[in-house]
Amino acid sequence: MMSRLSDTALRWLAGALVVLAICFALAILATLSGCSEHRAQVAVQSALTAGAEALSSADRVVAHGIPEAADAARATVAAECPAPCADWSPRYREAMSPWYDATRGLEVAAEALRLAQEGLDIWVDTGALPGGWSALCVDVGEALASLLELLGACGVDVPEILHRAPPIAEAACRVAGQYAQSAEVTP
Amino acid sequence: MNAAEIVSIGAQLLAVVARIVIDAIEARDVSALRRVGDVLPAGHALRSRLALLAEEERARRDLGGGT
Repeated sequence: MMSRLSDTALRWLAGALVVLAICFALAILATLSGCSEHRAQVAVQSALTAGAEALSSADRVVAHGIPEAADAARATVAAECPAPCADWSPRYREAMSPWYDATRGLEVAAEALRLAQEGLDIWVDTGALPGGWSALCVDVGEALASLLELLGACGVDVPEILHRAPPIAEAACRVAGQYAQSAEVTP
Repeated sequence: MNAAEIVSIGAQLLAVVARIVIDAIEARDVSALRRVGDVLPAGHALRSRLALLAEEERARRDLGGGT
């Protein structure tokens, strides 16, 4: 009797082990396939955050340089058109145009990063990238690259982190494109 | 229901639970990272924009005669 019970128990144990092995194999497979996409999402988030930090650093540099440039611009305008000057505004804006352009470039890049963040959030939540993700990614890289030129026109020391931001953004876009599902959802 | 079926169902439940736990860990990893909104201020509140506005106001007072 004991022998028959032991044989039955062994068969159950063997069967259970086989089933468990199959289930764990499937679970590991599912985990590995999910990991690659998860790693891509982490890489994209890291790139976007690095871009935002580069932008924040550039914003501080520009804000620091504006008062001195504005002093020079006011002096120039005052020499050409003593106060009260009727058209001080266009003269002043012309003298300060590189700084207005740089600030606008900062805002464009910030908006591009925010839109890309929204796209990443949709990807994380739904498992599929939103429509137009590729264009969003390209916009981030182009906005950061354009900002580099605009900062150069201001004559400020461009933060090193900003030099690295465009290629990081481009790499993140490629990673996202490789791992994202082909089906896209509308945001 | 025999023991093999019970073990099988138990194993499947275990796999599902493992998947849920892994998903939760992965989701926490992504959400633990800083986001764009955590670094950049909202709207047009960039330091440079605020500095430009402040200097423009000074220019209006100095050059425009306060008009």
